[in-house]
Order: sequence, then structure tokens, then C-alpha cells
Amino acid sequence: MTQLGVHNPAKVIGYSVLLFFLGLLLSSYSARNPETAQFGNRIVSEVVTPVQSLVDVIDRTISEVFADYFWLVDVKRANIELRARLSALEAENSRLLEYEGENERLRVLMQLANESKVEGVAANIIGYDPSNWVQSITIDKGFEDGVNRGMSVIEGKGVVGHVISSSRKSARVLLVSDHASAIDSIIQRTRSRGILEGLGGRLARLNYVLEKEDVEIGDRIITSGLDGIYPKGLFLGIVSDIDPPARRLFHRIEIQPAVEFLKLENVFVITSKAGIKALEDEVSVERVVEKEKGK
Amino acid sequence: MEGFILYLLAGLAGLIIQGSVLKVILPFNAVPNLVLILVVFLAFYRNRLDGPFFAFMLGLEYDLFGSHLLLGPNASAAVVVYFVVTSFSKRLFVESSFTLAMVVLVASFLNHAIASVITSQFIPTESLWSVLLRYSPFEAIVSAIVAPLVFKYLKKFLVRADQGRTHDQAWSK
Repeated sequence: MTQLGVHNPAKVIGYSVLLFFLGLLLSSYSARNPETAQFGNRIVSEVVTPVQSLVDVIDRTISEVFADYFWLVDVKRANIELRARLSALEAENSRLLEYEGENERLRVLMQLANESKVEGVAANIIGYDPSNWVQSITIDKGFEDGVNRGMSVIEGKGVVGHVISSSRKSARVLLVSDHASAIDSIIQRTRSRGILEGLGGRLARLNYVLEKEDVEIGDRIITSGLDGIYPKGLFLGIVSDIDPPARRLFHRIEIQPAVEFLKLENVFVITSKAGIKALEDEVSVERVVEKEKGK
Repeated sequence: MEGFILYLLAGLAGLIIQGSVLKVILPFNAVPNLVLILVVFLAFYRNRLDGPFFAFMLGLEYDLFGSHLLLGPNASAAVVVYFVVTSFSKRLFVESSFTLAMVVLVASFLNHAIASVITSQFIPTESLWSVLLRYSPFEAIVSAIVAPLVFKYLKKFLVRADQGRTHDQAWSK
């Protein structure tokens, strides 16, 4: 085994203890002053974003090349004579399919923007949190594009999360599925309120819904708009499991989020209060229509 | 100073690979903790007085890079991991891939436990522990599997660069 230097146990212990407590001190300070962590994050983002964007471009290109390669293998098996002609067509086709998919996703996002007069920006995902137990993404839009801390991020199907820090050209989004995420929510059918908390991965939990309240598997959960971050009425997910009643005060409800976080490629950041108001008005109209239908 | 920058750059590269490449490629969010592997490497191959400081800075880099709401939990955890591993480093045959994988496995659990205990003191969330129990074993196992390969490359670049510099300094004196 290679040992490069001289080992001095007493000094190493001393330094280690000192640095350990420095870490604790820093944690305590950053807990009281969240802007410290955000400032640090912003500096790192400024340095890392160009590299992340480059890696993202390379990643997409490699995916395309791989897709093209597999198409080629299929064509070779089918007919040697047509291989040369088909390979070009398949490569083109694969690329166009990719563009079509991206187009479709962007159209859904833009349509949402047009229909509800929501002002916002569409963004690409360029990175994920390196750890496995923190659920967050990095998007390629920052405060230069009007993306700031506290703004809500959605996808065609529902809520993705909210912006927790923003640098010049990128921003970090805390996903709904993160354990630190808590969203004031409503069960759409019964209007019972609860707090949606992330469980990591693909699940979330709806807390503080009284056990006397009526909840069924398949019920839709939407945002209440009371937390000051998310507009009212955005789709969060559906009830996937409920623990049987056990004389508790609250239900134990498991939620399947509306968005498949691992398959996300583009998102939409709501950048204006007007946009939030427009969405809320739309939801109010929907509720009136629903009530009328009920009558 | 050069060594310090070299390790910081290696840590940054590890974080970018973890967050931008491996998260997209690997299924089930099972991504190895490359910074932790670097800290373990440091404990074996940079058994110097500046070792704890290097480990601290790598942990801090992890805190800064991730969207963690706190700065410090991973820095403190990295120092403890460095100290524990370096205490046993002379008794372990690190050239054995199995031993190395086991060391990284234990180090990963230790790192998670310390970082989580510190985090939970400042940001109390109900589901932190269930999230941790779900992902910690995955990350530890994947980190242990890739550690021998990562060590091979780190030895190639970092130790060689370190030795080269020591050699140059000796000659210049």
C-alpha cells in the first residue's frame, strides 16, 4: 500500500475534531441564514452550469447515435441490399421522432401557457442532484430569464416542484417527491385538506387528513393555493394506498405523483403572479361548472 | 496547493458525472457516491496532516453542489469517514477489491448516518429517515461495486500527480 506522508495521529485527531465541529457550526449558521447556502449554491452553479449543459448536449447526441446504431442493426438483419438506403432514412427518422416528441412536449407546455394566460418560461433539465436521497433537478433557465426562488414549476400533467435557488443561467428545483417538500393540498372530490410530503423516489404521502374524512383510492389531489408558492388547483397526484382505519387521528395516505420525475425532459416555470391568478380563476370557473353539472 | 486543487477538481468532476450522467443512465436512482469514494481514497493514499482538511472541503463541495438546504452536514461526515478509514488504513490490504468494496460499503453507511443525524437536528422532516433507509443501502452497494474501478483510475491520476510533484520538489531542493 502506498503511504505518501508521515502519519501523526495526535494532530490528525485534533484537526479532524476541529473540522467536524466547524461543519456543525456551518450547518447551524446556514440553517439560521438560508441565504448562505443559496449564495454558495449560486457560485457553484455559475461554474458548473456550462459544463452541465455541455454534458447534456453530449448525452443527447450519444443517445441519438445509439438509437441510430440499433436501427442500423435491425435493417442489416432484414435486408443487406436495402441497408445503405435504409440506414440513412432510419437515422433521419429517429432524429425526427426525437424532435417530434420534444415538439409535442413543448406544445403541451406552451398550450398550457396560452390557454390560462400564464406567464412563464419553458426550460430543459440539465442535471439531477448527485445524492440519491435529495430529489432535485437543475434547469437551464436562471434569473436572466426571469426564474427566481419560490416560483412553481409544472409539466403538462401536473406539479413538478418549486425553485429553491437561481443563478444567472440555471436554477435548482426541489421536486414534490423530496422529503423536505411540503405542499398544502386538497382532495378534489371531498375538498378535505392535507399536507403533501415527499417520500423520495416515486411516492409521496398526504398528512393531516382527519380519519373521519372520506378518502378513496383513485381520488385526485390538487394544490390548495394556501402555501403561497403553488397556484390553486394544480394536479399533484392520485391516492394509491390508504392504511385501514386504526383509531388514529389522521389517515395514512400514499400518493402517486402526477409527474414521472425520472422521465422529465422539459418543464414550465410560472414566473408571474398574474399567471397564478389566471390559473386560480380558471380553477374557480371549473368548480362552478362541476357544481352545475352535479345539480 | 496543487494537490488541493487537483482533489477539488476530481470531486467536482465526480459530482457532475453523478448528477448529469449516471442519474440519467442508471435505473432506480442507484447512483454511486463518487465523492465518498474519493474521501476513502484520500484516507488510504493521502495520510497526511492536510488529509482531514481535504476531506472537509470535498464534503463541503458536495453540500454546495447538491440542492441541500444546509452547508456542513456532508463536510462533517466526510471528516469522520476520513478519520475512521485512515485509522484502519495500515491494517487493511486495499489492493484487494473485496476489502476495498467492504470499506466503501461501511463508509457509505457511516457517511449517511452522520449527515442525516446532523441534517435532522436543523431541518426536522418526518420522512427523512424512511427516505434514507430506502436509498442508503442502494447507494452503499453501488458505491462498493464501482469503488475498485474508481480507485484504479484515481491511483493512475492523483497518486501519480502527487508523486510527480514530490519528486520535482525533492529535485528542486
